[in-house]
Amino acid sequence: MKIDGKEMFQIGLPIHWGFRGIAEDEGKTCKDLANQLTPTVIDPNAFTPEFKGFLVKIEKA
Amino acid sequence: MASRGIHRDGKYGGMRASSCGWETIFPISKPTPPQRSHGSVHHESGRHRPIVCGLSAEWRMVHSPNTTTDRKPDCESTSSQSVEQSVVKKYKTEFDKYGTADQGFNVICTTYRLTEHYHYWTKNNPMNGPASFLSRCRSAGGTRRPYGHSRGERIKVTSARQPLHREGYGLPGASVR
Repeated sequence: MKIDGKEMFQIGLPIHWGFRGIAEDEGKTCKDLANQLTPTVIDPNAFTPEFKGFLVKIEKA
Repeated sequence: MASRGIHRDGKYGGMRASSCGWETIFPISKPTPPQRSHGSVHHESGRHRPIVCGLSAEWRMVHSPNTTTDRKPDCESTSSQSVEQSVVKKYKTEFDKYGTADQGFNVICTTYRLTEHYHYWTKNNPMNGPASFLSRCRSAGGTRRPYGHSRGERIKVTSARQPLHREGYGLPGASVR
């Protein structure tokens, strides 16, 4: 995707994962929640989270 | 505007206290000059008459004869002029951190919902358990290429708030070339 002539990359993080839950996966990396990354931005009227797009960096784990 | 039993001929049809809950009369000091009528509701008393219908919380401003009818919104909305009209609101908290591209945060990330929690057909689907997978990160091949990771590898996604480890997950048909 090019924005203003610059190539931009996009990733998506599902907020749902697994069926065992955070407690059972404690100590593993999959306990991380997508919402730990997101900033606190909301719609002021309905208080719905509005973090539909934010900036991250990605690298090999 | 001829709803709720008010007739355009300036008389009450059924809009009375018994049908509306209650009504109040505010006398005006200076009568409104006659203007073009838009088929408004008239009242022979020549007074402003806001009528509140108890059940529907509906407001109507009824003017003197031969004047236009001034109406307030049917219900007060929080999105009216009395509150902030911004699209989003950024709170000043310890989580209120935003990275910039100059700081290395040069990938756009979005979060999305896989299932609807409260829908019957997702809540009662017996395949929900087996089909659910571990945490993933969906990225296209074009995105993975410059960052040097391939499909299925674990990657670390970091925002200005904190890092997050996820397994790279390719879009259908997308592959690293």
